[in-house]
Amino acid sequence: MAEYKVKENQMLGEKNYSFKHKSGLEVFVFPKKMTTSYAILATRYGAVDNKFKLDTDSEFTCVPDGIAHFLEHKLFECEGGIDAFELFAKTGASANAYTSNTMTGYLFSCTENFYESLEILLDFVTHPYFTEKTVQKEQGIIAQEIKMYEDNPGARLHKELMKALYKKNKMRIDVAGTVESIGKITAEILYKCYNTFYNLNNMTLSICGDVDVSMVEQACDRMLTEAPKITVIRDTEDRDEPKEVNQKRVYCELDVSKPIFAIGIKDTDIPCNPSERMKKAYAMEILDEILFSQSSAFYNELYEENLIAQDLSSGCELAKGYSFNVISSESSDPEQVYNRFVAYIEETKKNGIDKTAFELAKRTVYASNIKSFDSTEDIANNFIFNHFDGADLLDAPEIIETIDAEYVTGLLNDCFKEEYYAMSVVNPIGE
Amino acid sequence: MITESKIIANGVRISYIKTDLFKTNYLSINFVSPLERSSACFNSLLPLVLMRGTRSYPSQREINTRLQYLYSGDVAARNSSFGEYQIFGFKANMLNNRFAKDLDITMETVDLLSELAFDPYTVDGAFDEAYTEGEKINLIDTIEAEINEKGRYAIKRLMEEMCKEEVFGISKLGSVEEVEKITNKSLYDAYKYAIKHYPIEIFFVGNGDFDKIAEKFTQVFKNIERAPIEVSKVALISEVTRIKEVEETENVKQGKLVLGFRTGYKPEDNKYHLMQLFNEIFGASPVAKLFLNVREKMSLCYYCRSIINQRNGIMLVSSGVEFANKEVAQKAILEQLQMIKDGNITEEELESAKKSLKNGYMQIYDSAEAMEVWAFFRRLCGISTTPKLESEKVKNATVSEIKELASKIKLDTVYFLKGKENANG
Repeated sequence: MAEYKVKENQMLGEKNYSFKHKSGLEVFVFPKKMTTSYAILATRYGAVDNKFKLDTDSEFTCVPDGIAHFLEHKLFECEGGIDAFELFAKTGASANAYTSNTMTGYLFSCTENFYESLEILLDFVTHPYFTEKTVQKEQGIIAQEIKMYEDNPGARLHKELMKALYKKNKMRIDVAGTVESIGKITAEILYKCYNTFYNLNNMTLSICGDVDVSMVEQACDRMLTEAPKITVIRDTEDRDEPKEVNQKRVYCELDVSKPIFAIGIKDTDIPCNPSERMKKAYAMEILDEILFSQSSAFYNELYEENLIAQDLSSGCELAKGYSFNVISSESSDPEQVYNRFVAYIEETKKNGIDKTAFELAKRTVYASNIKSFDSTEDIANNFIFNHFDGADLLDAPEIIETIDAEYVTGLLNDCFKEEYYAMSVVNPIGE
Repeated sequence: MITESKIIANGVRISYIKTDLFKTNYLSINFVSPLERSSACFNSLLPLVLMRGTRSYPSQREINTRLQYLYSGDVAARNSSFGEYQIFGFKANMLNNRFAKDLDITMETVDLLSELAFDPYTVDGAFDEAYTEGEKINLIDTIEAEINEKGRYAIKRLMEEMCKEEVFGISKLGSVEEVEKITNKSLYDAYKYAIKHYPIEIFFVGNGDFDKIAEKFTQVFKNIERAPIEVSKVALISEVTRIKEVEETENVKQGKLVLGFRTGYKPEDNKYHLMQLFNEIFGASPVAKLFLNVREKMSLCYYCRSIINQRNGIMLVSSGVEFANKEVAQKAILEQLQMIKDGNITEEELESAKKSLKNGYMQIYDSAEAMEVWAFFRRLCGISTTPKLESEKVKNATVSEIKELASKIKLDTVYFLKGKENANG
């Protein structure tokens, strides 16, 4: 038996057990007495990983955009034409998967037969089966998925914003790829990507629910064999990204009733230390809450003038490869919103951040973090996201506690500058 | 599922679902109105205007600052339609008191929510004119924005076409024309009508002093005159005389196909678990016939799924397909339905569906809002049951019961949203 490490946060009343399985897989288990148990097996491999090599290779391999997502679809098909969904159907678990820019995760939730479902998960993700015929079939399905997102205003808004913010950074790559790029995918390329990135040493299993860690280890023993040690070198030339945005404005037209906009604030100053990154991410959330929440002057003034819709959303995305803030809503006049935004930021810098506003915003961020521990799914997912970024979800409450007004004021002054702003707008057709 | 219920005023009930599972508590205040064209727009506008100001917190900004003080008690307006009912009001998710220092988050949030619903900010005996006019514009924007999400828009259009003779096609948002006609006075009259006449259901889910919360609302209703109406149940149509076909064009890259069926199901039959079991086998899961055949085998679409409305028994199948594949997809969907009608269900399919359904039922216990919705909507149907009981009932279901139920399902309306000419890509 492996030795289990225990990490606990007493204020939250949550803890996890972890161990490194002899196969190479890292495992984290949050025992929680809820009805639903949730497991996610993820690999550090996403849309950005389109150029890579092993340390023993001389040349980099370039693969078509959208391949990580394609691979995610295809792994569900097992040898003999069986679909992994059919296997989960026998245990009653509800399975799914998702691909982001930096990771791919396979997951299930269930209310009984947890360990049987876990075996299925560990089994199908470690046994790829691709043929030219099954690849072709998937091209048809994913082409429809891509078209569905092309008609979706929110998805388009985000996709275009990434192109406005970044010149080189691979956040520009759309997770699903394009109909053209996925047309170039073959079984051979899929195997190459699989063998490079689905090595168990590159993967983590995160579980939350009424689950016993030693039983999880036994399931790993039954299903997993030791993975060869390999060293993957990922192309990082995209990290050499200018501080300024690539394009100030990007527009597209869709069948929408009113323009939709997203103002992006690019940030290239990403802390190397994972705890510092986590601190900066939460501090940015506090700052967003001060500046743009429904308690802010900005929101209320624009709302009362009917310049924005009820749901002005703001949020920050920060991990080792990217950092940006997005403010988004619907407006009849996005340009005016942009100008007001710029003026508002300058005014706030001049006047400073109100102490009470800071305390209330911090309280809000503290509370929403605690609320995220009410779901086994959220815990397992948030854990793995942070873990892949080098941080620990259970440290969040204490890290939030260390954030002071001075730190947040520093972010306001350093990150909010006009050369870092870009705006993506989806306009109604023909206007 | 409900631990305790009290009638605290004429037609006002408060219910408690006790659970220690969460770090949060949940509270909702709901007005239960009949779904009618004449009142839908008022009912959808009211929560929005009420969220703009209360007696103690006369502006949105003050309300939201108060909510931040209360540890981000997320308050949201609620407006949903369920069969012949329109339910509107507020819901809030608040942090448990143990995470706050010296603050009774629960009671303070209850006070705020109560004030939002029953003690609004008024000027000369009506709402603030600016609030009403502002929210009218926002509501009109929301209605006009329904076109943005094509999948949902296609479903809405299908329901309008299919249920022309019934209330089920009425939009819970109201129409632009109706909202435009609302005045500050007519809205305030609608509010006075609502607090006097509509049945009111309050739910508290979590762990708190229920008696104290109930007492708080009892005091509130001492000052409100009540004369509740009875929302009459409507008869359900189960026959189809002629299949309606509707095709519309918009600027889209992908076509949206929606098929509307009448299932002959009635809530009082108490067989909703069988309907759900049928739905699992037909189109609600990744091992359903629709997914495995229309998507996986034929590669026609990314999604193809079925949903059944628990109140009116209307079943919808929706899918996103190439414009040119509409007929093929429609035929494939109907073929899969015919398979079930012919009793073509394997033992494996039945067992999978039972397990998947049980999983879905049991997951309800892990969400405060899911529990509330379960208890509330079944109460509206006159049914009292728990997810546990339903999953027990499902165990004994047979293929012949499903076949029997499927035999009554009839296609009523086909709606297809396609792209403008030459837009097929």
